[in-house]
Amino acid sequence: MNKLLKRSFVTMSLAALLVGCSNSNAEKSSQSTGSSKGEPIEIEFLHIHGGKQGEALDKIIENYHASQDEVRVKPIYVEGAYEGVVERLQSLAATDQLPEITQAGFTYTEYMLENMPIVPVQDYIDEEKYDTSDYFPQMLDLAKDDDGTIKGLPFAVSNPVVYYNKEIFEKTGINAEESLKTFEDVRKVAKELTKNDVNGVYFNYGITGNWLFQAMVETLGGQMIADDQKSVTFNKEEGVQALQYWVDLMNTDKSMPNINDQQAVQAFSSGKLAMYVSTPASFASMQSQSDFEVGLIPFPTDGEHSRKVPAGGNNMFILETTEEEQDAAWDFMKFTTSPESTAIVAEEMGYMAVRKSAVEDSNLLGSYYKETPAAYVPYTQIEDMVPWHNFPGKGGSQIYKIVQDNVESALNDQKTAEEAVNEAAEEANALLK
Amino acid sequence: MRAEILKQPTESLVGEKVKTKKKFNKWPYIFLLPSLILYGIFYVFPFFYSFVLSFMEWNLISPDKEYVGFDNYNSIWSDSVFWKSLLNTLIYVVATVPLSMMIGLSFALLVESVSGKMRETYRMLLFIPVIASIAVTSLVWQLLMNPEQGWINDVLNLFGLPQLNWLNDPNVALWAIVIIGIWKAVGYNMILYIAGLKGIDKQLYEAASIDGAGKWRQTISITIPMLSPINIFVFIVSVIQSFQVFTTIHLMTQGGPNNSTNMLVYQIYEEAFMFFDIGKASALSAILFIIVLIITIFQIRTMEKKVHYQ
Repeated sequence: MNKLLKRSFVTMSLAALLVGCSNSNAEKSSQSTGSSKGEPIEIEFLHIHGGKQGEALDKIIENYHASQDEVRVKPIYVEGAYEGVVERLQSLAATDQLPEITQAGFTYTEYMLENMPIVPVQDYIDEEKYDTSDYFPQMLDLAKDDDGTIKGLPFAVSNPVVYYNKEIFEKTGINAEESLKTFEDVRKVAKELTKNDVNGVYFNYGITGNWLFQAMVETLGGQMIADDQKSVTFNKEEGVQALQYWVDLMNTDKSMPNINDQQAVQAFSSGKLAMYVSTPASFASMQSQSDFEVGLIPFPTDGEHSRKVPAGGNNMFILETTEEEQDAAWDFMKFTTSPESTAIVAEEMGYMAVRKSAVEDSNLLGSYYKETPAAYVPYTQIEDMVPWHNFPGKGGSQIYKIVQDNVESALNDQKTAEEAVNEAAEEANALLK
Repeated sequence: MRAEILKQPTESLVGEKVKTKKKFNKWPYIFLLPSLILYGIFYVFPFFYSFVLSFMEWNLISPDKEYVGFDNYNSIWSDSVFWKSLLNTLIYVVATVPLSMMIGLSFALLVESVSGKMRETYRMLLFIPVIASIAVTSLVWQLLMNPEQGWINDVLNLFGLPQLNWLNDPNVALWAIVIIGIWKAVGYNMILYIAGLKGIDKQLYEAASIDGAGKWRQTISITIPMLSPINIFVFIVSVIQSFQVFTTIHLMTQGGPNNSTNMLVYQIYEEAFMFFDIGKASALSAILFIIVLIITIFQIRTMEKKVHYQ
């Protein structure tokens, strides 16, 4: 008995050690069935839209299935937003199980073009003489490579906006549309509205580490990276100014709470946060969670420079498989960017529609925007939209995290804003070499 | 099959010389083979392969892997995030393991001292954190730990205690993760201890009570020493498990703010799947393996002597 017990616990703990150290993160396998004659072709679509957004996407796929019976689309929801999709694509690529069609966030366009077997949509457009003039040109640009070839199609596009709690603003008699034009305005109003358990404002700086930071820096007249792409430039005056602005909100005025995005959404929808700066993509769900009316206004400026808002959202790309499946993926892609489908994306998710006709047509979004003018706000910034910066090369994706880490260290008073952007720049430059 | 097994010894006896007393019986190994093959493919092979990869530069997709010698290891030694996440991991292990063991044992003793239906109810309630989906529970913790509207801060406030910014203050966030780690591990430890308690011979207690030992004395002199084999098992497994903490970090803090909750396994994930640097991630895994191996050998060596077997 003695020996047996002794031996068994030694082996058990060794086994636990072995199991523990090997990677147990087994990928869920996903099968795609090829098509035999007469059977519909099944294609897989990797996407990031859960919850309410996922329901909207399901609706589009149902409509697509109702419209034809040759192609069947299997949507695969991936957690962890755009980082999650890239992570999943990598492991699927390593095991040769890539889906036929996938979404990819605008920060990962470069990554996709460099690493994934993409079938350029341009080939189909040329072949079919497919008319792309109805797509917003600023959005179509987001799917082009450096030579101007269209590689995919935009699925959903957004740019940063300011959410505000209409009830709070009405009570205090502040006209949000008139008095929130500049960063200083926002700061002043936020300070005024911070009392009791209500906070003034939250900038959602956590979106891929740099989305709002880029919006701030570029709107202040700065640049994220030098034109030759060899060194970052966000540590110049504008970068310091941008980060200092957030530090002042959080630590001097105490009008911006030190919380994460999920908590900020909870706070806003329970009426404890007056303003929330983020993507309009959560407008629909935010409105349905809140028992007050939610308003949107454009991203502020510094009053001198023109507004520059990075485009957020995602493209769809066709990945190399059989020709038959690629054609099916293209067909589905056309359907999802049709005025009817993109109107669903806009109305039920909160993104912008990618087709001009969808916005104008009163049967599609025309009447919705008349009833809910707030939802139209992102379009007023369409002229100010710039590409979301893709840092080049191998260390590119690491730079997003470096920026976010340093923003957090400044907000938590571990470094000054100037130290933070300089240290971030130093680390980033080492990766760009 | 049965007939064959019976045939073997007779055959060997019939032979000219009996070489061995026991003939090698292949059947157990044949039955084990399928699971050994799977184990080999999914655990043993990747385990050794990641050592090989730790000397390569590779992005998981590209067909080319480049041999880079010790470059990956050298970049780890000079990486401040590594030292931070190593320190965080050690703090986490040292804080989580003893507490979750002590609380687990206390719960086991308490639950076992209850009789009747309630015993099962308590056992089930205390075990829920182990089986509940982490995705759900971390959302609940996220709500509880919200600095503005969270229930935990409300309670602290009620008692006049300072309110904490649980997940966003770099000095507090690690402790928030520790608390959740303990909460999650206690139920599992409890079940192991209950199993251990059931294995203790009732005669020992009877003998002790005849000798006049009270409940407390019995716990100290019989229960605790008799649980020592289980204790070591729980200890080793808890240490290994806490070295591997990942999901709560992934879902709640993503290693932030500013790496204050970054730990080794999360850093491996970051390097591999966010920065696409499989070589460095593999080198980190190798380092983690060596750390855990040394600790485990040390644990077995030193604690073996203190184990009481019946």
